[in-house]
Amino acid sequence: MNIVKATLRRELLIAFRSPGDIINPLMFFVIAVSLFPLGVGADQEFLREIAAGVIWVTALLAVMLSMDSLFRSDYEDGSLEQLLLSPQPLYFIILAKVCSHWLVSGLPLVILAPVFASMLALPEQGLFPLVASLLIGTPILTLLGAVGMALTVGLSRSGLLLAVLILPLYVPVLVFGTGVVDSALNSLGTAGLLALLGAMLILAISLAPLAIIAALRISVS
Amino acid sequence: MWQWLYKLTSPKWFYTISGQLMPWLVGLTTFLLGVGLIWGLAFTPPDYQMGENYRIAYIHVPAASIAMGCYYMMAIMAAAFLIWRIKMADMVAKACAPVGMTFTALALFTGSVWGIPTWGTWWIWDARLTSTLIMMFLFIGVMALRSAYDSETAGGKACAVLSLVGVVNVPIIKYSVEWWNTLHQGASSLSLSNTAANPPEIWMPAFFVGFGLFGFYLIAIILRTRNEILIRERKAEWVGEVLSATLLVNQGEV
Amino acid sequence: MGSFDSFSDFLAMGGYATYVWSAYAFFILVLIFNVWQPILSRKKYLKQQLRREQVQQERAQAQQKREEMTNGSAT
Repeated sequence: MNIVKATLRRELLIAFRSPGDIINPLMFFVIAVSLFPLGVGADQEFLREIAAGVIWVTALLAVMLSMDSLFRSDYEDGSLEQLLLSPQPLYFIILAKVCSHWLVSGLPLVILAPVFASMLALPEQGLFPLVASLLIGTPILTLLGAVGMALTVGLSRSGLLLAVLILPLYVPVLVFGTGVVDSALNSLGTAGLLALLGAMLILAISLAPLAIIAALRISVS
Repeated sequence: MWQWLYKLTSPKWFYTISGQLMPWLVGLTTFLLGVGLIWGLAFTPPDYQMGENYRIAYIHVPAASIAMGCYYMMAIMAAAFLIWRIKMADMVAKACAPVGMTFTALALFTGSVWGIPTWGTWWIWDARLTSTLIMMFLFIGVMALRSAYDSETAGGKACAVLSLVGVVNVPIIKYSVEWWNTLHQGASSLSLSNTAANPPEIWMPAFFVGFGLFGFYLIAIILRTRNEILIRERKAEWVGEVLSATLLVNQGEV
Repeated sequence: MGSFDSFSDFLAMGGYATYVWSAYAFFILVLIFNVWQPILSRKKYLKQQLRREQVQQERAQAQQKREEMTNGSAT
């Protein structure tokens, strides 16, 4: 498991050396969320209705846009090829890479989300469920996004292709994520839906790295 | 059984057998579709609730379920290609994407046309329409990925991985959309499956159209796969023979 | 015929003519597309292959002629 720790450390170090990769998705999230009231009007009632959806959709797009930095530089300098040839357990290395990417791109969104949710007039009883759903949901988004990124990293123009490939796969996460907040606002239980999201996360953790490895092998060869 | 399966993976065998099978398949499909459509359009009594409009269901329902089946077939072919490196499987998978996309488009179009008089609007976020829409996005994604790759093998493998990731998601997407739909609104759905309520003269034509459309789906897949075989195996000796034979026949008209 | 009194009744589809017939028109369109597109691309491919073969034949003939000419001049 030393290799996992080493990978995590290496990835986090690299990320903190180029803070743009961390800050840009966050800035995108902040600006895109602030655009919504300007587009749909500042009516508190209406904003309350759409708050959870807006936060979730922008978080989803921000995660997707941040994916580019996951494998791109490793692919270009050849270290990805080295990684695939190494005798270390690839499954855990990939998981560590994705995990560290989530720590710098997904986690800040989760922390910032309640601030912007209350700016969008989301009632207080919806804040905790929103954070909980994002906390479980964004890692799924990062894992699925990593699959898409691994498939397109070898292609020259992959930005929009990535969106076409993985946005449809994000649908269940979006539905259940916003569903958690909706249920909380209607004073229904959220435990069941959070458990469902948790089950999806476990499924993604166990299967996505396999798909990522297969996809990376195709892209590198 | 195994030998038969093994033979199926040979492009030459597939090309010959599908060529021999084609006239029968075309005949059967024409018969089934003809009988089913005429029966369904002209002879079954109108539905007591939806009037004549329900006749759209005869094409909508099979189109939607075949599109869904097409995605599963693409995923099975993808698995066969990735696990056993069967080239034939990739050729069939490549054929599945455009055919499946047109079938989802058909299901979407007929569903929304049916919705105009029923719901008063051509689009409603009904569970079935929504999950069919997402299914179409999945097909489009696979096609986009394949066209982005220059190398035929790498593109095929990438599409195979994407189809397999997608197929794990399809039931989850369907379930999530249905759950989401019941949370927000319930809409009346276009269905012939309620056989208890419907008399046999309503659902019997649906069987004919359903099997007929399935036959057509097989024809569409086979036509595309045969083209793919000719293109990819053009260096094989038997393809050269097939080509020169067809070229001789066609020389006059080309 | 069938459940309709006349052919014009059949075309009218009980007032749902636009919906029913446009759905079936799109259905026919999908059927035609799925047959014509592969047939068209097959024809295109065959044509291309034929041209390639002709070019090869011409080249072979030219080569033969050249050889004959050089042989002729030698003797």
